[in-house]
Amino acid sequence: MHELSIVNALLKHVQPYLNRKIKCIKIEVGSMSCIDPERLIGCFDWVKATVGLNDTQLIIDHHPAKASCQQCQQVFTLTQLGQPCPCGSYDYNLLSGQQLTLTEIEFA
Amino acid sequence: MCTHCGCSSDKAILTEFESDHHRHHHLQAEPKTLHLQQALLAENDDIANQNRTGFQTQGITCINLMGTPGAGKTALLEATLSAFHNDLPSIAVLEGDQQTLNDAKRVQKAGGQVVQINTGTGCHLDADLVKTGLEKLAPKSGSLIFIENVGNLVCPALFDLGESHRIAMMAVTDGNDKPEKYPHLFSRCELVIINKADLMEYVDFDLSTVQQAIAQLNPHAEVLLLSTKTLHGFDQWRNWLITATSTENKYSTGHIDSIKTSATLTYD
Repeated sequence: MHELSIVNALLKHVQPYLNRKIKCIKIEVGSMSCIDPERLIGCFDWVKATVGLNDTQLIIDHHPAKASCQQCQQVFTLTQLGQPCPCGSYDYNLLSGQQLTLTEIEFA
Repeated sequence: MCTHCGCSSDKAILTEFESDHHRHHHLQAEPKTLHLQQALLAENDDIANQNRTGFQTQGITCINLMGTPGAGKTALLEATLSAFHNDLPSIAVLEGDQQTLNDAKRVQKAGGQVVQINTGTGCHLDADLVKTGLEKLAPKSGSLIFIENVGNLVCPALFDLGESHRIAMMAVTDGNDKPEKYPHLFSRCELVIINKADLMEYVDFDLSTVQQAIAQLNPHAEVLLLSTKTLHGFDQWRNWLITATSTENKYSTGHIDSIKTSATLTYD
């Protein structure tokens, strides 16, 4: 369950701010990041008390993936890997959708 | 940003010095919301880059071998050690498994230099585990390192280890739909190895279906059907390794850059 590794990485990033009471943490998760958002929240809720974040909520901003087709050059939304461009080509570059980024910490 | 505590305040600060430590206060209230742009896997990627720099300094080619449990990853290493020991650089192996030294013993018996990494409950190797393993392995300059990842088609795909090449491995006994079911791993590799070709006639395995699925997920990936038992396909495997360890390719990281920058899925 690699989501737990991601939560541990997140806690390291949040560690410098633990001197203040944190209300919520926002992260951006790309739809091609290989991360299950619900499982990520489950892992966070599982371990948050160990660092005193008992009342902190993890909020996930889902970001759809965008890809640029090598054949027709159009940019399209990729909903799953292995999906063709509307022109039918499978040869495209992923422009976004793999991000796992801490974007916001809101203090109480 | 405040350089003392890492908080976001750019306001004046007041610092009190005490006997052996000091503390500081911000003169104005901290903002209630802090906006950041921090990649969560940045630490792993930094260590992976350290590993990569180490490989480049020592002229080492590193291959991350991922795949299903039972695909024959260790058998591939054994057969490679046995068949190509005159054609390839010295081979060293980092073995990743949750428990046991079984695979390390097999590689050692086949003549490979090896260190076993047991991940305990961990489902994948990360760059820091590999860094620690490399310190124990102490590979020779110019060698070829295989990192045999934990048998798992999900988690290893996400973690850059510092490798220059990625291989996804399955067997004909795994069924036709593994690439479709586990697209992340099969879309982030340069080569897909399908092992146990000698069992093709005994199982319902349709190579063209699998090739088509891989072509849709990863149009630039090569697909290699082989058998570690009969050595079917091993001429092509040797040629692939010779190309991968050649001076112009040993440090190619096109597929790795795609993971870190999240900007491209181009496979050079």
